[in-house]
Amino acid sequence: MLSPEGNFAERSSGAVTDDKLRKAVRKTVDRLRDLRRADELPDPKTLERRAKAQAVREHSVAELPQLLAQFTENCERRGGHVHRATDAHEACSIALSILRSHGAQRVVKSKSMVTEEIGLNEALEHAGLEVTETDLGEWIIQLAGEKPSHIILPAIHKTRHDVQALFEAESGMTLSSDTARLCAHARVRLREKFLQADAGVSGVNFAVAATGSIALFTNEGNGRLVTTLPRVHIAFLGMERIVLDLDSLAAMAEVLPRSATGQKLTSYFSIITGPRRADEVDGPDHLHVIVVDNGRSAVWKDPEFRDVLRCIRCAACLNVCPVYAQVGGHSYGGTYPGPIGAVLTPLLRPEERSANELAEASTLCAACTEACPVGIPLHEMLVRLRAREQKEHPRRLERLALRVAFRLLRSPRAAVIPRVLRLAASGTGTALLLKKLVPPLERWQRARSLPPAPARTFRALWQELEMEEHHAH
Amino acid sequence: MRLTAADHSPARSPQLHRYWSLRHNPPRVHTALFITCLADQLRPSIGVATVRILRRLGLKPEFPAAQGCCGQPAWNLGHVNEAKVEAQRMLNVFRDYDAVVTPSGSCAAMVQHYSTVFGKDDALTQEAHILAAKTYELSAFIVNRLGVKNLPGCFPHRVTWHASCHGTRLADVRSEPLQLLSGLEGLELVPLPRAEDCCGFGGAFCVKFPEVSAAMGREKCSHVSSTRANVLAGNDAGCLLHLQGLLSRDGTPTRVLHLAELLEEAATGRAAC
Amino acid sequence: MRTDSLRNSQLAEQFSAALRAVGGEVRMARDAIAAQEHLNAVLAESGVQHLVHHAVDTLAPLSPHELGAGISAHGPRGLSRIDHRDLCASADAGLTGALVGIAATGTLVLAAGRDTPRSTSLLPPLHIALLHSQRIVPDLASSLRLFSANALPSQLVHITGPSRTGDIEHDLTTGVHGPARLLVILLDPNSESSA
Ligand code: SF4
Repeated sequence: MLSPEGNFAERSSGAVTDDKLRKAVRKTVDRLRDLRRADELPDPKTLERRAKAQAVREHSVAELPQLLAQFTENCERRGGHVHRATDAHEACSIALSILRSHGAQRVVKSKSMVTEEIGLNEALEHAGLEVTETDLGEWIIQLAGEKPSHIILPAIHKTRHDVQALFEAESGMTLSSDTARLCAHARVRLREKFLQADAGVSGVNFAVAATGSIALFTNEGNGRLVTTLPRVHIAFLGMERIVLDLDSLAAMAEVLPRSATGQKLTSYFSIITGPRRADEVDGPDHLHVIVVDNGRSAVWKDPEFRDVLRCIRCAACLNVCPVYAQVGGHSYGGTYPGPIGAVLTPLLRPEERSANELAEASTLCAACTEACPVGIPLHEMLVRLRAREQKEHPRRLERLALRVAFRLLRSPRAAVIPRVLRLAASGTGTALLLKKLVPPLERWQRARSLPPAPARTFRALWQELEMEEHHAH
Repeated sequence: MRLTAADHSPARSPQLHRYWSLRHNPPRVHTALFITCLADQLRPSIGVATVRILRRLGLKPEFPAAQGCCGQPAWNLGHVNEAKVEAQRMLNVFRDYDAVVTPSGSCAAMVQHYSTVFGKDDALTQEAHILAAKTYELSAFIVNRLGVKNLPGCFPHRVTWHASCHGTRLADVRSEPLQLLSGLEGLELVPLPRAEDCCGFGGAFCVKFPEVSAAMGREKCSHVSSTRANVLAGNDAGCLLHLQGLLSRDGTPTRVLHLAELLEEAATGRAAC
Repeated sequence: MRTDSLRNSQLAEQFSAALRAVGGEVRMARDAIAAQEHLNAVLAESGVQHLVHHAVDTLAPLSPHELGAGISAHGPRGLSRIDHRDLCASADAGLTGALVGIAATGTLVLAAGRDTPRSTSLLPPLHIALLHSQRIVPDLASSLRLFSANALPSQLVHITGPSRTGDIEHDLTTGVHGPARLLVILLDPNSESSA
């Protein structure tokens, strides 16, 4: 699901000149990571929590097929229905046929990245259904006709004035740009949608194999409304988002909110096991869980990348990523932005060549790896992706240039870089030609001065240094 | 052995005890200098300073001339075979030394991770582990291997420190350079806001995505300016050249110094504290 | 027994501090009378006229029949799905009894059931919950261990503070979908009643 326009380099160089966007993104990611650190740094239990969470996820990924089978059995025993979808198209078709079989027309949704990944809204709307995103950020994005730019804060790039304009256009009312008022407005508008909805669609943070339950972490309460008011609940589960039992779930609850927002626990954490019982006056009559593969099985079979399936979509890696902070989520072009997106998107979409370029969009600073609560070596995976790309589509010129450079850099007399620098600084016609021939030189100079060229390299100086030592004795 | 002003200092503080004892009983560590391409070609003063610092500590560092690049550019661009060739050369070059010292956190990290380059089953992996264990970034070598926590010297300036990502996260060199800096007389160390953020150099990244790289670098520079430090110091030539390029393009007078250059200037400088 | 009740009080204190830290309100009551007084006072202060509540026996010792004059109160029994929903949607407050409290996070645990529907704690703008100090456990893991894997309710909800969002400029706002206020009446025989 890469956006068609341009590639990362083009999208990002546009984004870095958008000061409003950069400011909005920077402000929010800084706040999020500060909150996380304020919670984690002083807490001696942080490492222990992370180690536990990592162990849980390692087990989940290792035992994935067995856990899925166990989940399916237990969920169905409690009256739920579990469907498996191999790709986006199948996942949407299953949802559509469930909705049709219940005569559902109006659908309310709570936040779910996997439904973004499969393009569910487009599919349902295309079939004539009304879909309303009810997470405030997602609703803003839906009204703007955009895609989320952050995993947990989809409207991170919108200011309150943008939101005011969108809400005014939707309701035809005049509103203030005060955040509390805008939220109150959304509460009223969306409450109507909830009361009229025929079906609710949600994601799943974790499925629990031993109990057949699904767990949802939310703050606004829309996730609870979606799974309480409509008669049909369809939950989309990314195939790998499963844990063994309630103890494992507790371990995940200890890290997910902390890593995402620095909260000890989200306002609401629901564990749903089957549809409502016969004597209950609310809750859905029908619960369907659609397990989405969409490329995950292939990742699971690849030992180099299997560990990425541990991901719990906490977005901690986005919030510390220096590239993400500059370019925002849309530059990544896929559903998942930031470091996890740069790794996951090319893996889930191996046929889309342009996705591979995302792995290049990193300085390999490893801030993502350091932030990840489940120990995914994200920066190493980026390097592995680059190696895979070289193997499949070698950049021969680059390779040759490296070989030549390595050779020249070892040569005691070549002093190749100082020579190039002196030439480039000479201001002659040759200097201009040089810049044409060596694009990195021009690209370096776009924003930076060239370093002064030293008279001699260290290799050339070494003899003198040796003499110096000699004389000293 | 060359003497410096500090040798004649009447007040030899107890913190410098280890330094003086090493000078009188030179450590028997057969040490190689791994200069790194950038220092060799673009900033030889870093190498000269490193050699002099090590000599003052009683060592006789050697410079095996067959050394080349650590292979990081190839590895990070996905050219695995080219990286392997360079890594193998380095294994050979440094085989007979007790310690390999380099003035770069990033290049140290690369050498320390050669086992990943060779892969789990490769026969060279064992040797890679041996090289990894004896390879040090300069300040880590001084503080952790030699046990010298303080060096004599005087540097009466306001200094802020750029903690390079590879040095801190991959080579785990975090407190050592700060330890050495804060021991210098007259030096005022000011913390850099958002120090953990990457400066945007990133090797090939800085010319593959020049706009993003520059935007990251400018943010770093604005943090540097906010400290009102007159010296920005670091232990990775790549980051420093990138930041210096940005600062000088903007006409900012902040001096950009490598840790080795700074320590050398402090030890031999004319400034009186 | 005495050490048990002391331990409960410590957990109660931890619970209150954690809940207050996330914007929840706590009123301590040492006995049934004080608890009822708190409830009536809260309803009066907040101008509540319509109250929905969980079944009476899940609320003991509170009694929804002893509220101030002019307040209508409805439990879930005998209502149709639609009637119940509409009552909750138009109520000023919802009253529930918490099954468990979690000290580390200030969390209330509620299980959906015939007498304890989900909407009561969800649709009204004010959620009032009664919590007995003996029901407080140290952390989430110990709470989840109280439930047997085969007997989970259709929904087990963990509530930690009021409904909140940071979706507009990461400016924290409460009550976007769920209750804007969460108030816990904490019944602890060792406590000094607080106003
Ligand atoms: S990769 Fe790690 S840090 Fe990033 S979203 Fe996934 S779990 Fe969170």
